[in-house]
Amino acid sequence: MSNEALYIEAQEDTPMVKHEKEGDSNVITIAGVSMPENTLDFYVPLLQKIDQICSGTKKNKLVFHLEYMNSMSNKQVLKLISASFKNDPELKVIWRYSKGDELIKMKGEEMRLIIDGVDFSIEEAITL
Amino acid sequence: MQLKEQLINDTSGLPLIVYYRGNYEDISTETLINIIESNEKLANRKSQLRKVMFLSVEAIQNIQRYSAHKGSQSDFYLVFFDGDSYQVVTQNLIHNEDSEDLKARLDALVSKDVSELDELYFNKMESGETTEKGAGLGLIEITRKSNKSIRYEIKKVDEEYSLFNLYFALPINIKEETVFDFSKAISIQAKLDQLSAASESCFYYGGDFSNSFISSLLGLLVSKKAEKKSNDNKKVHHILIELTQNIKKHAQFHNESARGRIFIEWKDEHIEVSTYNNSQLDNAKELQKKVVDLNGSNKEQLVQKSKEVLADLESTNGLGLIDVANLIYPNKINVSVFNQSNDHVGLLFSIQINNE
Repeated sequence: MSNEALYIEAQEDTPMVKHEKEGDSNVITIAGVSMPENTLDFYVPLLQKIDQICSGTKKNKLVFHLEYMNSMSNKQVLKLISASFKNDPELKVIWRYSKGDELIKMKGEEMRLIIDGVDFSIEEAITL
Repeated sequence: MQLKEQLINDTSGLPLIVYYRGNYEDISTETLINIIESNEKLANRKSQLRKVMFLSVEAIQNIQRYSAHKGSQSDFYLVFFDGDSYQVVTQNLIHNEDSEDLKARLDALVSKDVSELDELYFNKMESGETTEKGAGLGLIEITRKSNKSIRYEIKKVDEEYSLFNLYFALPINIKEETVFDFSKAISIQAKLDQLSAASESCFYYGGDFSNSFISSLLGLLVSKKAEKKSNDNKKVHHILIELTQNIKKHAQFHNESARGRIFIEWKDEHIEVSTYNNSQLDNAKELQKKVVDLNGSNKEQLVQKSKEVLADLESTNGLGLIDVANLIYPNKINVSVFNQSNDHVGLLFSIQINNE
């Protein structure tokens, strides 16, 4: 298990990422705008970092509240969830969407169908 | 040739063009300025671009302060860069009773030389003399900083209102004073007038399609008060992100011209978004085939396509157009082709997002 801290400040086109401990488990929150022109530059190192943090731990949580997500980010987010689920079959994903945001809600529903077996809840966010 | 295609061709040599026509009580000045600023990386003379931004704040605030605000369709701000100069045109409706006073003020400003204008400016600043709507410094500032290139027109519309147009220019090679020819600006203005006549408000842009531009554009939409009432605005935003990033991804350019064009027209029943960019012929054919396939799909098929492309994590197939087709369903993606050469073609995408 790694105690490395993870906090990435939100930029114009990339989301805020933060890590908190909840007992022995980890909660990773990803929120804001995700529309970088080169998604790999942002998501490849992020995936490695999350992998390090969550290594050997169970019942981790990935919490998303994306205001905008371009289609290229969508695949990277799915990769991140898939990889985390592979390492932690008890992973919980919480996918939040803003009121009236049909696309972000739909994206959550699609990913829930694709990653079979993951505990994946979709909920309307109260505030961002 | 359609009006949009004509406008695209007439403005194709302009590395930057920003136009917003509508109710200026409804948007924030900052959002339009941010859109200009998002082109800073491409500007050869950044100091001139900063000056344009500075004077544009004055010009837009003049619209906001002094427009008679009768019907939002009349007021607009237009800026473009043609390689030699930045040119700005504004238009707002005024009450006929105010036109003589405005004319007298502008004539007095134009008749002064630069040192007299400086003196007037500093006197006003020192005296702290202000009116209900400001210190009246905006027009003085525009006149002195644009090397007295300003020109204006006041045209009577009816018994109550007139249209006030203000023109000014900032050439790259700064001269003492400029007698400026605004024929290009007037011709572009006439085409934009035609295009926007059927809309409640209208935005036209050509320039850099960086993420700074997209963020600024979303800022403009969020600032539109009418947008806030609609649950649909998020849908429009998602579509704009995909379409503008597509411009950047697919556009092929060989010169300094803008990477692409975008139109947003707010109408009674729907919002129409159109994007234009050059593309390699093979790439354009692929995109057209993809659009035909998406337009022929029902909602369930679109959802299925989206899921399949998403699930194939190793594939580089794009989801963008599938998302757009999904969001606008049952409307279709319209794609037309023009300006074809041996290896390149111009692609104009248009979609309608219904108001709910």
